[in-house]
Amino acid sequence: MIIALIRALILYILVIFAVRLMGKRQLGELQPSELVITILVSNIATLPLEDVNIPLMVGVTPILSLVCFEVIVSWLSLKHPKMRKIISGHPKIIISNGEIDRKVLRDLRFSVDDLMTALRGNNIFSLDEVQYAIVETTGSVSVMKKASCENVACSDLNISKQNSNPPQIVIADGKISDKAIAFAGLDRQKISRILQKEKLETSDVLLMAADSSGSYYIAEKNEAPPRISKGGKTNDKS
Amino acid sequence: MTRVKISAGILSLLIILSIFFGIRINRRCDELLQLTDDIRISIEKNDSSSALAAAEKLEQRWEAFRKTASIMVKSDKMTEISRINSRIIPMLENGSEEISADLDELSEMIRLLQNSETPLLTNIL
Repeated sequence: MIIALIRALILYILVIFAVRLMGKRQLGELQPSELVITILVSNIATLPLEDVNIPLMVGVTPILSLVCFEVIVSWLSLKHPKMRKIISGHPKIIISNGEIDRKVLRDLRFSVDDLMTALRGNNIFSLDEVQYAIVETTGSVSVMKKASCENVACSDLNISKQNSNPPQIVIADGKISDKAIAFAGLDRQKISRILQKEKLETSDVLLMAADSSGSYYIAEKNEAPPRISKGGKTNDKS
Repeated sequence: MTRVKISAGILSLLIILSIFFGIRINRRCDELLQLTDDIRISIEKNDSSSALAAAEKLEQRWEAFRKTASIMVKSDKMTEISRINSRIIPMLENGSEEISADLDELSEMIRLLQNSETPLLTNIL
């Protein structure tokens, strides 16, 4: 029993390490080879778990080698586009100039329902709106809308907006993160000043997000409403 | 790039370990096969003391080998050899006539273990 427990712990650590080594990807964004490796790793890991007669190394060796092969092959395909095409395939244009390419649809074994589902996933409910639709190597569909159907952007209305970094969680559960403060382009003194202005102690704060423009959002540990400031303009929301 | 370097490192380590264990298992199996042959020759010469000494040596070598080999080899392969090996000394002491058959079986099992860990095309496929 204890052996099974220890082996489970070792395999758990190994699988976590293997997944971390492969990198961060969501399941839906996996390349075909990555999906195969993920399934294989989970299957192989169960063998030495189920049967204690199988040495752990017999499970560990294929898991590590498969993941290492995957990392090396993905690195090689990054360097060599031809290899990338062989391993990952290439994106296919399924709708071109608003017209469905039936041959590509057949090649991909994509039904009209599949196409419509993918378009609806992109907030498009009518084929009239689509200029181009591309089936990516991960199987997801990227859509370019017709110019007349595109959302209006600030640049279309000649409105200038300053680019800024996203707000950082500078205080989480009463603990200040110096890394986040530095990333947000702030310093501890500025944070202290904001807290003094709000009459708060660091330990009172459940969450404080701030950015370089001086905007901040503070949620207290008690049930008080959040304190929000947009670049100097303070307003409490309840 | 760090991931690629780590992967290359792990892969190299696995290749080195596999080759090392492969060679080690092959050599130890050769040693064990030699010892079973020594026992057989001693029995043919009616030299029971030499046969017993070789059998004890075989038992010791097998036990030492089994501990390290169990890291890489499935335990069912090892259990069968251990079972036959444990019978050799009592059979020699009792002067059993079935000793030749058991020695043949032991040799065959060791040879199977040796072959199963050798990267032959038949094993790979």
